[in-house]
Amino acid sequence: MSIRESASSLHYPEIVPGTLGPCPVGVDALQGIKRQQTNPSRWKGQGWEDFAIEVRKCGIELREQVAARGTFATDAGGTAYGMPHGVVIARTARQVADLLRLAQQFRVPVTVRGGGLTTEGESVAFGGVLLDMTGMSRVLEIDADGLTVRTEAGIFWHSLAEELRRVNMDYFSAPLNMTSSVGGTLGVGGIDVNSPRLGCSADQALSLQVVTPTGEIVECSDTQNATLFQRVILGYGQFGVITEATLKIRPYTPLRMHYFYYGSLRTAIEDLQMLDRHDASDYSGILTIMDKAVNLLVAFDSPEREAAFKASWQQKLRGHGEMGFALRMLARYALRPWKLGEAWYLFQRKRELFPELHRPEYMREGIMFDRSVVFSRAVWKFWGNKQMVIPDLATSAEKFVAAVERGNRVCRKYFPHYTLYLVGIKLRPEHREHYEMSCIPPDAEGWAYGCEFEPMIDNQVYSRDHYQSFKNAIYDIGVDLGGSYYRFGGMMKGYIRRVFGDEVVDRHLALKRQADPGMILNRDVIF
Amino acid sequence: MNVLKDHSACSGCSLCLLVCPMWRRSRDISLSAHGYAKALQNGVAANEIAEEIWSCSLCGACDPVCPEQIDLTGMILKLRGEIIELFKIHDTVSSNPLPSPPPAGEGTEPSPAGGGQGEGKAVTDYGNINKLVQNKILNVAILTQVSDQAVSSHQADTIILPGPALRKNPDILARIGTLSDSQHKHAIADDDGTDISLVLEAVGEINSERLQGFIDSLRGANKIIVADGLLLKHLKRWLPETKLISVGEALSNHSAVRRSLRTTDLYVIEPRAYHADYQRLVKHYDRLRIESGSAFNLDLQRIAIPVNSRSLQQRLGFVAPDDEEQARWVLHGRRVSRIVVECLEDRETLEKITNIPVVHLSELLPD
Repeated sequence: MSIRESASSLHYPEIVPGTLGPCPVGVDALQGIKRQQTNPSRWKGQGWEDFAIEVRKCGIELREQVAARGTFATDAGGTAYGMPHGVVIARTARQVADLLRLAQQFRVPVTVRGGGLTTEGESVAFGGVLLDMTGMSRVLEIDADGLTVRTEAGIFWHSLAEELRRVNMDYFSAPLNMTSSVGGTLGVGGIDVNSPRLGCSADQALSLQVVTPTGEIVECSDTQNATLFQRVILGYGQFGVITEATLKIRPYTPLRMHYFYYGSLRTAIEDLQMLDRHDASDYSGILTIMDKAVNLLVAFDSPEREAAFKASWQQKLRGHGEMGFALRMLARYALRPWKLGEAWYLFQRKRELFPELHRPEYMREGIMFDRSVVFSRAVWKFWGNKQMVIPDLATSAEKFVAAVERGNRVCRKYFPHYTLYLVGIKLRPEHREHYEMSCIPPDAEGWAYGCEFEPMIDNQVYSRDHYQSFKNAIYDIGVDLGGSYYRFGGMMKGYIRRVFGDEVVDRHLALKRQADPGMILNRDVIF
Repeated sequence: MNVLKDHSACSGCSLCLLVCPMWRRSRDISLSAHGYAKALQNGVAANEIAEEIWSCSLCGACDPVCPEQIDLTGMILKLRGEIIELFKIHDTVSSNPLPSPPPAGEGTEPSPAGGGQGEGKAVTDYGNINKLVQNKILNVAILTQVSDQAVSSHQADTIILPGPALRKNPDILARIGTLSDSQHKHAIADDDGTDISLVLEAVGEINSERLQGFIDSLRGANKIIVADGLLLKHLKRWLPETKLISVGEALSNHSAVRRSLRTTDLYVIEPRAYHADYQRLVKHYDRLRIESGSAFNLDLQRIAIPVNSRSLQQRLGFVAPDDEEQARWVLHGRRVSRIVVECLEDRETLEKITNIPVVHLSELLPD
């Protein structure tokens, strides 16, 4: 086929000389692939000057210089870009309340940002005010006897851990990413490798101080202003700004780590779920290099729990030790010499990654002293990039193998290299109200399971359409299986009605309109 | 060999924020390497964030934690150079008049009143900061003091560059002098390059003859012990064949010092030297920590939490220092009966805020 014939078969539109043709990455650029929302439109700035004057009258520092605004132009995902009109660093709940009250009055959108680790532009301000909560990041009180901590909510989990460790305490569960903020995490969930036992990070919140979208400062918990508490926890920032939180804490313990290696996703997931059902470990999760090297991580807080695992459960696992798995891989690739490139990649990846997980200052004699440091540094060193897309699926235990296997096929189609991170989340029946319209799938009982599908960008350049198509293909699986997602806001909000259904979404929308008449708070994240 | 990257490689992970004393004090992202990099990525010129960039204390804590392996301290120094050039080109007239250098004889101690500047205000004419540094150097008498123990550097196996704070404490300096093997000659250098270090930090031009003379005075030594962490980093580049270690490492390698450390001690590492050679020293101090059972001023990432986190302007006395909150954070929640410091400036600050005895590492050496 000639180039001319090839071009004509692609139905390129005729372009009149001297005019611009249609955008080559326009809505029909990827035929057969339904496009979903990308960046929302920018707020035009009506009334900004008057708003700015009133904000400053309240003693709030509003930064309008490009330098201050440019710092927040994107989030960790690096695919959504927007510039706020001004930046406010949160300092007190009173100040946040004044800001939101004025924002309602002048209809100025306020986008709240903690660690900025969203990947779909949820913490990017497309105009209006960017409220940087990291300015409120002090620990207020540690009650070592009552096992609670009261902290400002803009604090990074790592900074909280630093303070707690001075008194030999630790948080319950937090994302394996040190720069997630407490407030941001409580708003979306938060998954740790102890979530199969302790639940998501949001489940450890005992009470919150919340500034409502109309500027009231309200204390809430399961017994005080319970409806607000239910909506704010896992509420994607729609119903208020969390300014303080009381969280459960526990005595610090280092981790006793064990790794088991599998060649099959299904087998590893079945073993993971078996451990969870029988409460056989304190920590568990799966981390893979594509679907070729599947690593089941199992860890314990105490030698007693570790001994019980070794006595009752270790022999039931079908995974291998490091050496045994290496020999199997050698045999596999010896019989498939045409896949030597893949074998080399796996070898290189292991050679780079494993020493980072076993650095002697953090791990000695199988005991890991600072799991969040080890994993978080590894996450950013080996998976971090200026652009990151991490679509995910959350399902009931029963549907999880199917969801992961289908998602894995999508990854293979779109990217040469990728990683899957899988973990269970113990559900708390009394928190059912918290879970509505969240990452917790409605049909999950006992445990929900989540899988993140993370392509390795490897310094390659992919178009936004490529990323978006990949995410759509993963999210379509969730729709098909009746699951949910961790990241359904921002650029993926086109899925909200498809996943949760009109009845639930409309009910939440009505609540949102009631709580936030100007729809100013975190506009376009969900609503 | 790893190629060090610049601000464009920043992925925005914020790991540098967690270890940054300037961020900890201000809770303001713009006062961190993350803030500089993101602002620059989004079209901001260096001179638009001049005040932020000059506020950095160059403790180097951000360098080892950057997953992108950006040379963040190098990036900050490069930006300072760009700012100076931009200010020169535009001949900026500052609305904030420059302070006069403090009177001679004041040493490098900051003046309590913050020099000629209003309280808390920074020097804002960054184009002239080099001149201020040069004036300051002329006004301090640090280069003329000679230790009684000094011998000609050219004849010594080990040369010690003690810096101004140690020079002001002859007893401690004498103790450090005993570090060397008695069979080998050692020298406490007459010239320990304090002026060069200041110019490096201010990104000025170092007179080539002066630099060459300084480097030549150190040639021939097998080992050089350096108090100034920033100078140590550069000396490694200038004298690649010579063994260069910090005062802290030299002292903490001494068996008597190691034996004297207690489980109830808080050991305070000097951050600049530690972070400049992090991959090696993290293992050294980890061994020391396990061996002694002492607490260390290390955070969970094994980064040294500085007691003093002063900007150049603060160390030169143009702005009043505000170390106490940072020093309190080092002590926060720790139950210790003694504090052992590698750096004498840390002792001064800690003694202001605690009754716990503070000793210099050299004081653990036998008399």
